[in-house]
Amino acid sequence: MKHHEDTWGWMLAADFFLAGMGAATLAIAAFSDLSSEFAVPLAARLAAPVLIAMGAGLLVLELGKPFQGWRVFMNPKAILTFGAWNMTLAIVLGAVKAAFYLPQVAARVPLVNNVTLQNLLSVLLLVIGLIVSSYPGVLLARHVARPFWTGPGIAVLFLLSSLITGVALIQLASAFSASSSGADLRWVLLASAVLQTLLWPLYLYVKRTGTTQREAEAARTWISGSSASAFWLGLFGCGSVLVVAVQLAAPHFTAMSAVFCLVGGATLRYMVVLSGKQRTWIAGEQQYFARLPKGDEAFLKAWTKNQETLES
Amino acid sequence: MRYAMVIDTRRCIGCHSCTVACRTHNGLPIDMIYNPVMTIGPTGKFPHVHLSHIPLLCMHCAEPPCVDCCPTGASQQRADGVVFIEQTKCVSCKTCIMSCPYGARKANHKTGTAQKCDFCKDRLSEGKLPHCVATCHQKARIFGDLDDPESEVYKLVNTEKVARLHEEFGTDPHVFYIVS
Repeated sequence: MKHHEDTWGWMLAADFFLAGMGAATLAIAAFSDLSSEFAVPLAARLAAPVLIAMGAGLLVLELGKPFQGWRVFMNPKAILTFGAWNMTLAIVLGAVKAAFYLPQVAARVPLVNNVTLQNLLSVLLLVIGLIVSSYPGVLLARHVARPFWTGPGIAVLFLLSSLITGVALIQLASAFSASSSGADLRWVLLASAVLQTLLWPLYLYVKRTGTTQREAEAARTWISGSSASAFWLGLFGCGSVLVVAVQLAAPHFTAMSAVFCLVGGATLRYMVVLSGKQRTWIAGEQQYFARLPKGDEAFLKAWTKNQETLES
Repeated sequence: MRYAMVIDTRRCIGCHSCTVACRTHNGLPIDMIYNPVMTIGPTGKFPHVHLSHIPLLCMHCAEPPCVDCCPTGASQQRADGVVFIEQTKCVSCKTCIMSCPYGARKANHKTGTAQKCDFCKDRLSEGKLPHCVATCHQKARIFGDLDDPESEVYKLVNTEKVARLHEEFGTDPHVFYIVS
């Protein structure tokens, strides 16, 4: 029996991770198509819409009524609706764009060679990819009563993490594909990992010192409280510092640093989503709910059993 | 017409009658409470000891973050200010639960929807008071039209020392607490 507030769980965190990674991959691939400065392996192009679709699937499973999930498309004012439409577009357009790179499709569909269409698709995917990468952070940042989320900082960190995991996916795909095309992105990975290494301590410092008492308490949980080991070892250690270290010491170990990036990105999403359990409490609220029965008391078990018997 | 509630914390004795009345009449699941009553204290030292009670409920905010964030349009606000959830449209995405600064919304796992206090809107349409107001034997809960200068809530809000919870979030809550 749960008297405490229901909050988002691991499935939403997994959605943010998978969709963010896929969307960033789409945006980077679109940029590569427009700039022609580096190539993105076909495996990464194919994986991107699949990852976003997997994230969307988890989002649907998180709903209380998964079979009525289509209803989330109905309120144009809601940021979740905006995100749902963009995810759908990213899946469809990403799959179409990836299909253009399949030799079987290129041979049969003459439109593939239309430069205007290709460029239009790339521009659309660049914009939509960036929207899907950043909208979860914007969504969280608008929760004024969730002290760890509120403010624009979390949106920046989410976008940065999505880009890092997107680059990592492309690096992984490059490492395991026949053609080596990830060389130019190693510096992007290093630069973004360095930025993340600097920004996370800065974010926690600002929360800890420069804002409200409740935000300071939320940051303390991350710095030295119950979330500290996951933050220092998973997000900061593995997802940022180790990536920088590997990139500097052994730049050819691209797959290893990419895996570290993915571990860090997944840890970030999970920790940030779970930190939403902390709300700006009203005086006496936590004590009140702590005093309520947990559900395993003998009288409650007997009562529940009796109710079930009556209902059946 | 703008419905609002005034809670006189000087009168509330923390008997939880409102909690029970709400749960019973609305047929709430065993793990769901729309209007818990918080107890603060006792604080101070005898003989200057103080104990107070703060009943909570949906604040029926004028700027409800739960309405704009709802992707299905299930979370709505009437012209008279009552915020409610259209159960047939709700899919329990929990966005409204997360956005409410007052923890006023709960997920019902059996129905797959979110639920909350709606000022007993069905009773209002019959000209009756919400259950929590009708049952309060201390007359600590006062309900009425804040736009009507003759109403008790209007007079209390404009003459007594009232406070609102978490005004800093800019939600413009319409539950007022008379503090001593």
